[in-house]
Amino acid sequence: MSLKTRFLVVFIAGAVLPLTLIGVVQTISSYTVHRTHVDSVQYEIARNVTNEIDNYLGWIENELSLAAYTWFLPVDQPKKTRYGLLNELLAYNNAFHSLTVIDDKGQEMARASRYTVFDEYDLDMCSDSPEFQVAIGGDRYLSPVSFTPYGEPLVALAVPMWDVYHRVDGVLIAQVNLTYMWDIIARIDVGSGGYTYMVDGQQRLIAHEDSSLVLQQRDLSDIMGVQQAQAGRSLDHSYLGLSGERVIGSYQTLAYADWCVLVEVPMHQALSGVYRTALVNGLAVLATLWMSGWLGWYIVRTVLHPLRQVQDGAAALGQGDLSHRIDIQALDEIGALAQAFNDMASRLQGMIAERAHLQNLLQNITDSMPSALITLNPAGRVLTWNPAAEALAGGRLGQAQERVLWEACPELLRYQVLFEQVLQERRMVHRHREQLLLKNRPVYRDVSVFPLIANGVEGVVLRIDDVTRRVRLEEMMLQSAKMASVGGLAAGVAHEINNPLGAMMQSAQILQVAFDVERPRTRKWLETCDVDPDNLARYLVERGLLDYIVGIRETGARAAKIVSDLLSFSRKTSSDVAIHNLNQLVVRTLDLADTDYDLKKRYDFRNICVMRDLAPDLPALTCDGQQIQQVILNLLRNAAQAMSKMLETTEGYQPLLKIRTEKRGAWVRLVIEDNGPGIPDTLASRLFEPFFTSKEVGEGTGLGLWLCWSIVVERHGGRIWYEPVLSRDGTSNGTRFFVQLPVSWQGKPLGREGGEA
Amino acid sequence: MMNKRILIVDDERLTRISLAAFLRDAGYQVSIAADGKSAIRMHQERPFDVCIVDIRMPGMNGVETILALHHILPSSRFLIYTGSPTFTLPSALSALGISEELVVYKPVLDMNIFLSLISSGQMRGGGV
Repeated sequence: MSLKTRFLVVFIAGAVLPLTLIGVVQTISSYTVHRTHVDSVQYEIARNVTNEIDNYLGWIENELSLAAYTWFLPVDQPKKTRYGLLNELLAYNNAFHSLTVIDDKGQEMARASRYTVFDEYDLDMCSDSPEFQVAIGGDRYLSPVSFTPYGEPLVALAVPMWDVYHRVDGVLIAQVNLTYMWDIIARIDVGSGGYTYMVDGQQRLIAHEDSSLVLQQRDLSDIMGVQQAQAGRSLDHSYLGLSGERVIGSYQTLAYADWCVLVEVPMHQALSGVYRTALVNGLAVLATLWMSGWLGWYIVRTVLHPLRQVQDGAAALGQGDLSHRIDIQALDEIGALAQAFNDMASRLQGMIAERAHLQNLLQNITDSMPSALITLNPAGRVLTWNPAAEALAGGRLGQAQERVLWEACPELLRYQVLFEQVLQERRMVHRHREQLLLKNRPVYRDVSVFPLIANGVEGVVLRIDDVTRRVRLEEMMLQSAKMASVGGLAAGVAHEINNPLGAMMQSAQILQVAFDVERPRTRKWLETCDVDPDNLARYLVERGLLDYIVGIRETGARAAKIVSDLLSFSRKTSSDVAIHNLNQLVVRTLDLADTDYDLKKRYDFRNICVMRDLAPDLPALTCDGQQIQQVILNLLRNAAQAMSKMLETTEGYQPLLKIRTEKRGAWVRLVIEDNGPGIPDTLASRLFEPFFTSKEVGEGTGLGLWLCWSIVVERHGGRIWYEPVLSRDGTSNGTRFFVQLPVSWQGKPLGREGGEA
Repeated sequence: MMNKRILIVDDERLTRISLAAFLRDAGYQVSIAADGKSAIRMHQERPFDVCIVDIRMPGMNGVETILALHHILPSSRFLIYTGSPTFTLPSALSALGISEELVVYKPVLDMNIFLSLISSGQMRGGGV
């Protein structure tokens, strides 16, 4: 049952019912009081009327009896006197209409009337009349009411006439005018529209304030009150009275006759007080009903309707409509409730938004991570992953959801052991630098598996980092460190090499001088020792000794060059640090290359097509011009060597060298690109290492690129690197070297630390 | 002029004797010393016009030796002959008028450089 219905029921039951009950009780009690009052009033009136009429009739009878008695006193009186007595009586009491004296035989002896004069001839024999019959028996007789032609009610009263011997000697009959009785009835004021009337034993109306009604001689036997009165039963209920209205009646029977006096009051008049009470109560009930209804409506409006709104709001909230707000502006408790609800909804919305935000953030963070992240449930099924993981799995994770990872991506099967270990031990397991081959390339991975024990959901987070690049970088850094250390190392070793090398080469030169038979000084020595210069010369030539000596010197010179190269920047040589234009350096170096003996000897540089693309707006830069030229020359030489090798093996090959300069922010960049065979990947990491060479023995010392690196990186704070030039079909199509120098070089001191060693 | 007296101070025997041989062949009077102390003693006995001094030597090093030799005879001239590629000329020696051109780094491809240096005007008061 809804609150609304219950409210209505409670209001009605709580307010209307008791009120109704009270009303009914009050009405009933009022009815009883009124009824009792009316009854008593009616009874009183009826009794009074009855008494009065009884008394009147009794008095009439007494008068008559006295007259009858006196009739015989003067027995000897003449007849006239007797008539005179009757007339006296008529005169004395005007209630008497006529008087008749009858003897004991039934013979009328005298008659007197107020209006008619009789004589003896008019006297009749009336021994058969009921008046005579009853009265002669010694009883009084009262006839039914009759009416005179003038409309006066008459009744015949017959009394026995007693003689002195107490014998009935005749009957005195009087026609009694009952107008007085009518007067009594008419005089009674019952009030409240009530009235009094009298009926005789034949249930005929004999008295009423309205005499015309009486004269109609109505038979009132159909009136229940009359029936009851006649039967001597009490009148407890209302009935249709004489006036035709419903009445409350009361009656009293005369002691003197079988007549009844009835007092009737119309019900609506008699019980008007009751009706008023009932009306007031009814109105009160109605008012209460209206009040309850209004109260109910008010409560519904002020409480239930807002409550309904709150309920709807809660339902909406429950269904996920977080933006739902209750529009109640009231300042009461309902308003406070609505406000609290709205606050709660706002907070909830805020919290959910924040949660979404955090989720988003987390997603973004995991998405932006270079690590591949995959979460798995204890069964190994994929729960979540990030783009890096998707890339690692080759886009198969989307289909792997709700599938076991190893089945979806068999190449990840290797981590199942880790997965099971973590589930069992509940602690992180890490595998460092796992090396594997992917498409025949070595790949390094760091693999971490974390146990996921949160909110009771168990599983693991699998993190895979591709550290190949980092491993390469670290290798490169190691390489750099190695390269950097070579210079310092060489400086220490150089002294130990230079000294014996110097001694050896000096000695070789001494030998050369000593065997130079053309020199006069030598000839002198030979003469001193009795040696024939020609013989000696022939001997030297025959044995080829001079070549050996030259060989020693040349070889020594080569060794000296290597040491010198190694130390070229350690040794404090005259430096050419100044403001240079890279374009000019390039042009100068190209000119030099054209005439470079070494280049010309092996590879005719002029056969190589050189394309220059020099940026005209290149900023000047501070650098050591000679060193930079050496870098350019070394790179040109390497390119020329590579291309000449290609020239020997490939038909129709046209060597092409592209030289480009460009400005890159605070840097100037030199790009030297050849279309030679390219540099194999396997050499990549060691390319700039000292003494590393891919050339045939004797073709290079393996210091060229290391020198370049040393000059560019160490001396000038720049960068040097290369990339393969790929043709459209992906095959190697030459090499592109980059040299990048800072425009504003701070001028790092050229000398190595250590000074004189 | 060809009678210039030259002292070679070098701890490497073959270096000093081969250079000495070369210079003698060129007509100079050449003496050799294996270390600074003997060089100073020889210089005190009979001073040399030109001293060719190695830098890194056991005991007294080349710089100290040159300072000492100069102290004995300020008119003596010096050539520095070092195997140390990172050698830089100390200011004490620069003060004696020894310039970068008078530093020869080992190994030399041709010893004639000594002849040209000795005979050149680079050496202050070169005509002793």
